[in-house]
Amino acid sequence: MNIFRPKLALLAAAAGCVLASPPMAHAQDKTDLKKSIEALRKDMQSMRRAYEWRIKRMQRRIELLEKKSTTAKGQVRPRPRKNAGATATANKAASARRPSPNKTQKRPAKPTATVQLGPRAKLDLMFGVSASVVAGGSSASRDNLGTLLSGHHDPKQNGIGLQNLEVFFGGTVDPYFAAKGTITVQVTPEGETEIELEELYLTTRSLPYGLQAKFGLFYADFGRGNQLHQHQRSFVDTPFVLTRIFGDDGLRNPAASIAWLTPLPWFSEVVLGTMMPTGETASSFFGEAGEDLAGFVRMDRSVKHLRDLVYFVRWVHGFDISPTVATKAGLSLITGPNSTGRRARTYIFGGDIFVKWRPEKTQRGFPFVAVTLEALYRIFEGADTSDPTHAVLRDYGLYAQLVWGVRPGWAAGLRVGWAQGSRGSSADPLRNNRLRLSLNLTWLPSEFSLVRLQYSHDRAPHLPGGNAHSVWLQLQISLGDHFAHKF
Amino acid sequence: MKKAHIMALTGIAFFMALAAEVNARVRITTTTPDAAAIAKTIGGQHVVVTSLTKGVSDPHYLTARPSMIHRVFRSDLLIIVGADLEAGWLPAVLEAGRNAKVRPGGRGHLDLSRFVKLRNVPTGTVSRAQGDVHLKGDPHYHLDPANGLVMASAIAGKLAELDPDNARTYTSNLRAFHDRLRRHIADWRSRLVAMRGRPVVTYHKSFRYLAAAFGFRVISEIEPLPGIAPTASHLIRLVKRIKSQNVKLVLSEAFRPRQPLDFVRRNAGVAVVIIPHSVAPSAGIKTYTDLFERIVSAVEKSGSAGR
Repeated sequence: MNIFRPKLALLAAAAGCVLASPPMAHAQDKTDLKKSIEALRKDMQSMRRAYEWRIKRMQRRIELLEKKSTTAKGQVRPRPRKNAGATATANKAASARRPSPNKTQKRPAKPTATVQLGPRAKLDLMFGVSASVVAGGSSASRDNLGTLLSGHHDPKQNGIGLQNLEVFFGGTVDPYFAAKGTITVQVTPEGETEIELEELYLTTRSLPYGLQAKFGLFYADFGRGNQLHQHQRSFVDTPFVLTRIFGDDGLRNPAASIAWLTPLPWFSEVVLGTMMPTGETASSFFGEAGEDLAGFVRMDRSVKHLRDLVYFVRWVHGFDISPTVATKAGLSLITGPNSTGRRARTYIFGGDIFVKWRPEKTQRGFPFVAVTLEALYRIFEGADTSDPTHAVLRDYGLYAQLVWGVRPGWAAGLRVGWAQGSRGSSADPLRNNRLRLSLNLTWLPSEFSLVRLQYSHDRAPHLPGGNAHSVWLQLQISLGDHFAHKF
Repeated sequence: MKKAHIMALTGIAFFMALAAEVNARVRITTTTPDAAAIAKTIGGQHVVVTSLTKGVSDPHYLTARPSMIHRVFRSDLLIIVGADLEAGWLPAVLEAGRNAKVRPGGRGHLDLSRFVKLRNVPTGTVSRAQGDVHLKGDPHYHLDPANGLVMASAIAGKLAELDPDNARTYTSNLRAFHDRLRRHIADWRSRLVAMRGRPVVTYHKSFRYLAAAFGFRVISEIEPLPGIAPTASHLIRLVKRIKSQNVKLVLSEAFRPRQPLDFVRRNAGVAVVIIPHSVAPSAGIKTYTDLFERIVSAVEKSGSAGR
C-alpha cells in the first residue's frame, strides 16, 4: 500500500545530476551538489512527515468502506454472524472505530499532526452594504427632474445626493429553506430619510424534480431589468420603459412562485407565480387610490377573490453559444386586475435577451462585452367595458444596452431607451413618445468600488424645449460580504 | 411490419441499456480542471467528469453561467477548491442548481480545502485596504504537488463512499496515482534543486505553494496588493529591489498583462517565465502531472535553475 521510494528516485536523480554536470565541474560545485542533495533529502522527509499521516488516515477510511461494501454484498465476511442485528452492531462498531476528522486532529498520530486543516468553519450568513453617491446635474428644471428620471433611486436633484444605501443579508435557514433580504435607505431632496424593506423572501432548498419555491416580498420574475437592484445596473439611472410600466420602484410585492428546471439538455426554467396587486409597487395593477393613468382614476380596490391576484409566468433559457459566449433569453407574461374599474385588467408581455462574451484569457474578468435587449408591451384596460369612458391603453417600449469591459478596471457603456403609448398625450410623461441615449465610462479601482461618469440625452415632449442633457458622476462602494453575481 | 417492430424494440432496449450504463456512472462536476484531472484518474471508467472552468482564465473572476446551473443540477458529486476561491460565482449556481446533495453539507459535496494545510491564513484584523485578501487562506494549494496526493486521497475516499461497489478500483487507482506522482515529485525537485533558497518575484500571490514545494523564496509581487493593478512607482521600487536582492526570475500566469512584466524584464534584467497555473485541456495540459512537467521545464529552460 505504502510504496514510497524517495531513496531510489533520489539516487537516480543524484546520478542523473552527476552525469549531467560537465566533466570540468569544480570540486566546489560538487560540494554544492552534495549539499543540495542533502537538502532535498531532508525536504522529502519533511514532506513525508507532513502528508503521510493525512493520506494514511484517508486510506484507512477507504479500506473500511471497501470492507463494508464487500460485507454488504455478502462476498467476504470477516466472521460468521448469527443474525442481521449482529451485523448492524459490527458495522456500528466499525464506524465507531473509524476516526472522525475532528478526533484525529485532537489526538494526532505524530507530533506534526497538530496542524489545523482547511479553513476554520464559518456559518453561511452573509451581510453587506452597498452605497451610491451621485453628483451632477441636468438641463431639466428641478420640477421636471422627477418626470425625466423617475426611478426611485435615480438622481433626484442637481448637485450632490445620496442615491441609495442598500443593506442586504441572507443565509441558509435550515436544510429546507434559505432566506434573503434587502433594506434600502434613501435621503430625499427635502432631507428626509426613507427606509424601505425592498425584498425579504425564502427559497426552498430541497424540493424534488427540479422544483424551487419562493415566498415573501420580492421583485416579480418578469424580464431582466425588473429583477435588478440599483447597484447591479451598469448605468446611473433606470431605463424609463421599466419605470413607466412597473412604477418608480419596479414591480415587487408579497408573492409566491414556483420555478421548475425542465429536463431539457440546456438550462431551461419555467416560473409560475402569483403576487398581490396592491400599492405603489404594483402601479400597473391596483396602484395607489386617487392617482390616475391617462385620466383613468384609480379606485380603492382590495383583493376579494383569487382572480384579484396578479399571476405571472416566465420561461427562460440559458446556454453557451461557444466557449466564450453565453446567453440567457426569456419570455414573460403577467396579468392582473387594475383599479380603474371593477373588472378592468392589465396584461404585460415581455421578451429579454442577454449575451456576454468573455475571451478565455482574462485579467480580473476583463475584457468582456455584455449586450442586453429587453422589450415590453402593456395592455391596460381603462375602466370597465360597461363604462362609456372605457378605452384600452397600449404602451410599449424597449431598451438596448452594451457594456464593454475595455481593459482591466475600465468599462464603457451605451444605452438606448424608447417608449411610446397609444393615444398618449405628448404632455403626459408616462405615455408620451420618449427617447434616451446614455453613454458612460466606469472605472473600477477594485472589485468593491467604482466611479462612473455618464452623459444622457433625452427627447421628452413634456419638457420645455422637448429635450434635456444630463451629466452625472457616480461613486459606488460595497462593504462586507458580497453576494455571488447571477448571470 | 413485425420485423420493424422488433427492430424498433431492439433499438429502444439498446438505448435504454446505454442510458442505464451512463447513469450508473458517478457524475462528477468540479470547479477547476485540476480536480477534474485527478478525479478522472481515480474514477476511471466508473465516472463522468466535467469541469465548470477551463483553467486558462483568472480563477478569481468567473461568471456564473446558466450552463453551470444545468451541470450542477445533474451531478452526483461536486468537487470544489474551497477557501472562498469560488465565492464570487458558485453560490449563485448552487442556489439555482436545486441539488441539495451537492450543496455544502450534502453528501455529494467535497471541499478539498478541508483536507490540506492552507498557507497564509490571515490572523487579527483584516482590511480590504490590504487588497483582495483570501480570508480563509491561500486557495492555490494545488500548486504544491504533495497536495495533489492529498486531493487524490480525498476524492478516492468520497468516491468509495458514494459508490462502494467500485471502492476497490478507486483504491487501486489511487495507489497507482500516488506511486506515479511521488516518483515525479522526486524528479521535479531534483531538476529544480538549484532553485532552493533563490529569491523570486511573482505577479500575484498565487505561487506561494509552488515556492514552498520547490524551496524558492517569493520576495515580492508585481501587484502592490493582491488584486490591485501595479502602479509605476511600485514597479520602479520593485526593479530596485530585484537588483539589490539579485533576483533572477519572475513568474507569472499567462493571463496577466504583459506591460508590467516587460517593464521589469527590461529594467531589471530578469527572466520572465510564463507558467501555467492550472490543468488546461485546451492548452494541452491534460493531467495533473502534465501541469508540473510544464512548470518545471519552463523554469529549467529559463536557465534560472542552472548552477
